Amino acid sequence: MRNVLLISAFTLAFFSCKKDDEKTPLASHSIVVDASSHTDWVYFSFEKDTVVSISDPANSNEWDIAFQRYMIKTNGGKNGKGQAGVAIADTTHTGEEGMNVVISVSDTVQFVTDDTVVVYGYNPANPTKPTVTKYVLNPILMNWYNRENTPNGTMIVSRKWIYYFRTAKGKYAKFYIKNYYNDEGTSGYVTLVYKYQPDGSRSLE
Amino acid sequence: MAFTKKIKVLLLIISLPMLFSVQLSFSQSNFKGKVIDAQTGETIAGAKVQLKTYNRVTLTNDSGLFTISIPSLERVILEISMLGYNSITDTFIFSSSHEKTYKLTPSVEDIDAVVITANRMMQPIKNTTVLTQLVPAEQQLRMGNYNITSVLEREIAGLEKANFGYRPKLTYQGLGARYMLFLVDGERMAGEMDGDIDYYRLNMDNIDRIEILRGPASVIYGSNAISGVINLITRKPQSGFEAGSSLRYSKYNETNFNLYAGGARNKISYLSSITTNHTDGYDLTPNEPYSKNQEKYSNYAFNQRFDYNFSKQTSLTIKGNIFYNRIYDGIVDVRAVDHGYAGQSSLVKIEHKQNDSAQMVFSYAIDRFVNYNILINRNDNHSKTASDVLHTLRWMTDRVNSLGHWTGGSEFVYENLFSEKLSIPYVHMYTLIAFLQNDYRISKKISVVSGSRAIYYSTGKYSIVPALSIVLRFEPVILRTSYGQGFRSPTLKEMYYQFDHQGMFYLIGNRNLESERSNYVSTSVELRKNNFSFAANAYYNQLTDMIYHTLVAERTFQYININKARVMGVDWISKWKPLRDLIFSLNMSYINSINLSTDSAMYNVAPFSAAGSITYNLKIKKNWQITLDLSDRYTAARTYEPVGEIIYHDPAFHYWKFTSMLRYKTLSFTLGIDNLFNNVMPYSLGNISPGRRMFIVLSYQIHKY
Repeated sequence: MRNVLLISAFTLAFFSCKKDDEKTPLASHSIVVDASSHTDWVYFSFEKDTVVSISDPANSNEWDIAFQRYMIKTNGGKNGKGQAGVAIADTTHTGEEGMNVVISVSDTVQFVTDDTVVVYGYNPANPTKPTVTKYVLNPILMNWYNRENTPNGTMIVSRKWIYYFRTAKGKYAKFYIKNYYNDEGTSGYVTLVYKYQPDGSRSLE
Repeated sequence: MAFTKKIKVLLLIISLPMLFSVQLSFSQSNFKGKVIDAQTGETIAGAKVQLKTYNRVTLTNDSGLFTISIPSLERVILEISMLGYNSITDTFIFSSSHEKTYKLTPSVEDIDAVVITANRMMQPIKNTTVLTQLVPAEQQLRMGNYNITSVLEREIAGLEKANFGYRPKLTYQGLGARYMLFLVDGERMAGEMDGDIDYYRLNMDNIDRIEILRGPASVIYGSNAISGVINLITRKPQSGFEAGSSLRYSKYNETNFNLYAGGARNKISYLSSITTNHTDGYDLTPNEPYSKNQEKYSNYAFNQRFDYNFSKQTSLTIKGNIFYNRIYDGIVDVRAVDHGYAGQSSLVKIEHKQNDSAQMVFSYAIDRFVNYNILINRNDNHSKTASDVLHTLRWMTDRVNSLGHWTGGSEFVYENLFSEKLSIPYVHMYTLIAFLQNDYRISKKISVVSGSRAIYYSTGKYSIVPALSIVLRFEPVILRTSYGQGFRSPTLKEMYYQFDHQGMFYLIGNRNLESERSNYVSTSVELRKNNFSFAANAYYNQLTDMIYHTLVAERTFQYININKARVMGVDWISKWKPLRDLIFSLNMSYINSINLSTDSAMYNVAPFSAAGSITYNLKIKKNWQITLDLSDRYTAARTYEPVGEIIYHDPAFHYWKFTSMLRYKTLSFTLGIDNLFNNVMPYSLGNISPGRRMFIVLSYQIHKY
């Protein structure tokens, strides 16, 4: 009797171990962040999978990435005490295709943290002398979009490049920015599509 | 006794038919006539014979004969006209049935045409206070030109359809349509934001003629009439019944279709028309995949008109128009929003002619224009982003007395603007206007025209602008010299705008804006002979307080009265008919413009533009006609005001166009080639062309008089 029980226990354990070895693919998330304010930053946490409100961003670990219109900052470097950093994963395969191709972060990837950058603004009074403003942003994420001059004014079109992201707490994620407009065509609504690896490993599948 | 009785009876018998005939003569009689060519003596078929004030018209038949019923014992005015000839106006009292023969003199332009734009009242083109250029629609239709914009570009050197935004924008000399007033039947069109003009609402089939004023017209028309006025005059139905249709087709599925029907009977006339335009659009810059040079669009318009003659002196006109345009510029994964706009307008007008030298007009016009975002991902939901409603109430009188020819009136204009981009969603403004002009003949050859326009704005500002001209008439030459003060009042947008452009900068309005002012001096000379006509207008215009967006704070621009500019130039308009069937036309425009604030030439202005054409008309058999036309539009090199960080230059360019038309009676087939020499400039902000394109036009009309 005891042997039967022992064998059953081992079998059970064996089967449970097998389940642990199967990998469940990461869930794909898509969120529209209302970054339309010209003055306020909107903070986002990959871990919490939601927009968070942060009172003291410079000293908080509860946010990873923040948006203000088309500008993006992360919780690292000059912008915060976290470990956040960004690197380019793929520019040839973009969007959904790119998300399927990028499956892990290798050890050799260099993450870039936030630093002072110069943003050139359009000066309609003298377009050869654009306005120059200094911000502290993530340098890699300065180029997530293309600007096209349409008859309707400038349109911001995402390049849909895939980025590696190291969160404030040192975990990994991959994402791309899908769109900058909401369904009503209003700008400043960033659609973020991402996959976050909660177990801390470098696998992003 | 018996004898006197007999005489009395005899007198009675004799007088009876006289009584009877007197009664008969109050009714209509048939007047017959013939129309022939004054030079060759040949009869003219299809000449228009119009009985003025009775709205009755007929055409001469294949033998040049006509019959029209006119009232007897009453002074009538008969106008006989035909394209390519001077018209004749015959005023007489019809008393006995005799046939009249009218000899029409061939001419390159109708010297005796009657126009309306100079002072809002019909007068012979010789008498206008401002140089007027007349473009009869029939002439353009006979060359296969059904598109209003291309007719304007052909007749006005320096005018072009620009590509700043998805709405067609007409610019004159690069100054923007803010300086040239565009009217339809004397009224502005609402939704005229920054000079965007929706000529899609109309087709050349709906137009009777286009009148272009070259010179200052601020007293009569106010704001925007600094460089001149372009007035599209729509057709008024004639007696009997008429209907017609035209279809134009070109590359990229560009389709323009127009259908109209109308007529007049007794006191009522009516005209209905529908117009639709469509193109698939094209893209000349594939490396910018999200912006097409010409976006795909579809639009529809319906026009309705009624006229009712209460009597010979008084008439009522009611017009209505509705319009819808959708631009398919949305991109599903980037910006899933198409743009659309719709318009409705109505006009009620009462004209009363007191006598030969006094008339009055009362009118009320409403024009409504709405801009939409069409949400592709939300089932094409139409979300209103802006609307503009313009009400115009006007009363005018025109009188001739011993002190001269007076034109005066008053207007009340109310505008209500809604836009997401304004600091307060709804803004409105009203304007009270009074104007008075006097044309005084000092002698047979000299007249002095003086006038003034006073405007009061609900914002508390007011302007009074004077104008003075001297007109010298040494037939066939007419010289005019004018001085005028022009102004352009700030638009509601310039006052109330609050727009952030993708977060890159803010653009805000300024409620304290003053009007832009200008001092305008011009001299024009006009010569009209039968086979040659030419006019030249030289002008000098000093503009101050020009409203411009200026950096006032970090990333913030505001409209401020800041710029000064000086614009001077010469316009040349000429037509020459060396042979019966051949017409040369040449229009040129030279302009020198300096932005005095930056001391550099103004952006967008090409210093020289020209439009020329050679037209050859050939009658091959009876009722058959071929017209061949070759035209060119030339624009000198220019620099555009940059949109973005790049400065755009255009080299000098020509656009050649060839049209051939075959016509049998009222059926015509046109085959043409646009941009004959395939001149393509993908980055031009001026006129864009996708290269050489063929087009065909089919058109047919019926008249039953």
